[in-house]
Amino acid sequence: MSFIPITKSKRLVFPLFLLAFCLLYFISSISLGVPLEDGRLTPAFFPLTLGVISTAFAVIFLVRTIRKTHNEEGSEPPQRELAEKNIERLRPFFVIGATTIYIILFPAVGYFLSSLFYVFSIIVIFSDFKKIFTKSTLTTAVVILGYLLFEQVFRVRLPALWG
Amino acid sequence: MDFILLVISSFELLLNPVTLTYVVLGFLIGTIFAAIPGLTATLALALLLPLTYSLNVTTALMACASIYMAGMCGGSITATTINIPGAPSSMMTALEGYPMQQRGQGALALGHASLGSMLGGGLGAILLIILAPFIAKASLLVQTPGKFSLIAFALIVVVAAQRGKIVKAAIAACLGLMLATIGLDSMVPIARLTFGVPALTAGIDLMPVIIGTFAISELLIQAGSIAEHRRMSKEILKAQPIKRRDFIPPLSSVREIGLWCYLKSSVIGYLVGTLPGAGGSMGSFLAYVEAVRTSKNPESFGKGNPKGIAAAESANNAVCGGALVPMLTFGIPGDPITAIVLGVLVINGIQPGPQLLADQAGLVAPMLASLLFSAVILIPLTLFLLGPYFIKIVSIRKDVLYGSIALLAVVGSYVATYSVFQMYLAMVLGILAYFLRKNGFPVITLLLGFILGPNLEDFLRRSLALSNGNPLTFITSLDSLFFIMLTLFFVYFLAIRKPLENPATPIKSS
Repeated sequence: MSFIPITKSKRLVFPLFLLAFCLLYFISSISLGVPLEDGRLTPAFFPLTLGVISTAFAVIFLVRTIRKTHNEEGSEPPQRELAEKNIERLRPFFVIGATTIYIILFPAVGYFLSSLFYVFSIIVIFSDFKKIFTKSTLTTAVVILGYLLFEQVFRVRLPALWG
Repeated sequence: MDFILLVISSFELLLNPVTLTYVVLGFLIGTIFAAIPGLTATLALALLLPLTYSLNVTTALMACASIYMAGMCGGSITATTINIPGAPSSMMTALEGYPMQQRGQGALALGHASLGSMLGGGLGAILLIILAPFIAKASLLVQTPGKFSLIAFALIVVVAAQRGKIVKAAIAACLGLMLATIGLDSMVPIARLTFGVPALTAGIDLMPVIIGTFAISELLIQAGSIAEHRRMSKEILKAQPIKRRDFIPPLSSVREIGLWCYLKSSVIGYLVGTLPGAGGSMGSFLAYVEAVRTSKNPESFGKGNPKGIAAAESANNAVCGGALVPMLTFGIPGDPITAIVLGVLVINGIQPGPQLLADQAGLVAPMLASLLFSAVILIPLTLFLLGPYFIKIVSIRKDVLYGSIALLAVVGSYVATYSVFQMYLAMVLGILAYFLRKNGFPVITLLLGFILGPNLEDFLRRSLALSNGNPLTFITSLDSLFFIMLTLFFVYFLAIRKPLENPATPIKSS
């Protein structure tokens, strides 16, 4: 019996997630009741059918990924390249983190403060911590422009710090 | 004829300075987004979608049309100057444009691209204006089982068009359909698959789906490829300057390409556009292959032949007119941009479908007028006025650009319903779309699944209710049988038959 190394098994995470998602959907649609009643389709029919089809496709995708992972010959990139790639790989997660904090702050502290934090974070994630003053100025300009666009041009009410 | 007159009279709206400003601004934004590698006109439209809430629907649709047209031709700028297509539809343009740029004829290549785009876009729009009313009339004849088969056809063809990743496309389409089933059932008042979240009872709005799949996922993708950005920025700085006087293609060169090439490529692009999921890249590829096949000097292609640029650009801009046909006549979007345009209609309470051209011709006509205006006037004008500055525009600071995009995307998902829940939803869907895209899944099928899902289910249930549960109704009904046969035909040609050989040499992708 041959095992898949940990580095390669990471590739199975997404197919497994998709399969779990499809199965969860399928199981939830079973709880909607019978698919047919007096010869008529019920609200459960379509989700149930969809659950079966999507689970089947997710299984095919998982099997294909396992086969591909087994057939590939592994060669580890050099250590330095690996470190650079790791930083590159982490950036999207920093963006997700900054966005989550922004959505939490947005109704609590209002548009201006939360947006200043958010835009500045994104600018730093997409560049570095150098020239902080220039970046802060640009952040302020973007946030003010955003305010003018939403609130003044398109008359959208944005949350404020007080009321 | 009435509809054509209505479109002609709609040009009057462009005399209104506010409307004209939105159309021109839309075109400029579309051009800039399409020109910057990594960004697309779809992203521009997704970001601007929330703002259409505050706009008059006619103006919003006119601006959408100009963004669409700009998105198809803007990609040729970086395709020619640095060999990195700003949009996938400009891949074939890079093959001929970049060798011309290396010979010091970059401006001329852009001039040819602009002329091709102008003629193709104009012809596509004219064909749409002439043919759409007839197709709309024919679409009224389609009955309920036929409507189900038609929507199933659209979804299956979109999946089949993703050759090489059909299973992934099918999974993405299923995910879109799944998202569409969340919330109240359309026939029986029960909430489905809400997982105990009360905010999901009303279902998932189109807005967070569009912003999540196209804006937030793009932001995450770009965050993971900063090294690539830096490399591109260096390439952009190395690009040779372009002079305005070199833009106009000489008449002898246009004659050499021939009117027939422009016409044929435009018709190819238009027909490809009507096919769900095909898009500008397939249109330009087929027209380019046809230009090579019929050329007396096929060996000159790939070395800077303006005919290749003319064919590719005429076709990809003609796609705009073609892709609007199924959207306007059947309510079936063929690509992400028409899906967002459909979103503009939906959020304004207008139901797209066979009745749209009959009931809301006054809304659709200005959009088509704007499409034609963008092709014939704005494409050459933008090139002539802004051409020398394109490279400077494209080399805009990416960190500030993405900071602005992030702000527009997240706040944009809030403005639709003033709900923070929508912001979370957009983020979750964005993360899902990010991982899908990272793993090679086409998110267009997810979006189309989400948009077409409710009608697919609705027509399935209605058809079976009308036939007392007899599934043979889909075969005994002639219109339905026609669409089933059409589905089999396209599946054979798109997924089973050996594909056309790509005459292109490998180029860098954006």
